Amino acid sequence: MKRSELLKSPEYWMAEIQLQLFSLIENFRTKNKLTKTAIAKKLGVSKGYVTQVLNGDFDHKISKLVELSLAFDKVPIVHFVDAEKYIADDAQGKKEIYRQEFKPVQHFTFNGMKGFESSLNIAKLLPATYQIAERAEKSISGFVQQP
Amino acid sequence: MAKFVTVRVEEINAKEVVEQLVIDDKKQLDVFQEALKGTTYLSEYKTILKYIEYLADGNTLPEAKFRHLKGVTDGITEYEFKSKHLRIYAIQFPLKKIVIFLGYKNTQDKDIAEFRSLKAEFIAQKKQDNEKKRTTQKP
Repeated sequence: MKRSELLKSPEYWMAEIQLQLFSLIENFRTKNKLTKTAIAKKLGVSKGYVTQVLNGDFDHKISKLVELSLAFDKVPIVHFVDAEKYIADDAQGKKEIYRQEFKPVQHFTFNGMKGFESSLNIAKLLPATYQIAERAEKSISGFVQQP
Repeated sequence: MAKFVTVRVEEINAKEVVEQLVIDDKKQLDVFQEALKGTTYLSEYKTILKYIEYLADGNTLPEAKFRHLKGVTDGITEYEFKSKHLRIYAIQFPLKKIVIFLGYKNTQDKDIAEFRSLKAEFIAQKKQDNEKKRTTQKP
């Protein structure tokens, strides 16, 4: 089987969501030293239900997924990524950019105007580069405003 | 005597390298996948591959999906990945996991025995190869 075939299978993504949900609840449970019974009480569900989620077997309605996330002070943000783009990024070892805990490394690159602007904002945080960044920003505004 | 090598599992892309045992040029995953063709287990097989990847990415798996095998005698950690009907057996090497054997839930005892036998042969051959390399490198 090719990697792309696995990435296009429902099984892969179903397991991904189930495992993410497991991690969310298990981390909360261990951090707060709670039993499955206490978690069930917090959610207002049966212990068996919690066991099912903690076994990585969650397969309920979307409404339940949303309720669970909110009960653990998380919002469930869903992104739909183009499959071919994901497969290409995955092949380049970049799948982490799609993970919620991913924190991008900020580079001072001139990657288009947007990238340049964000680089300026970062540069302004550093005393040594503040004035240069401010001057650059002014000259850009002047440039953009020109008819 | 069978010839053992390991190659990267192409289906898995994780932070930690995951390899599979190749016995006489036959990749263990390919052999198992072939046996699963036309069965309903192929779906479970894909799910287990995701479990391995999730663990190799540094995450924790539910106990229902994964366990460390007890009774290890050679100090090399053994893993069992589980789905409803399938089992995948792997070992931990420095910086990588190696899938050694694949089996079914209803043949678990026999499969673990087979897994340990293959593991022992593989480790023995690895030691021999390392020994040969060392002796040929000596001036």
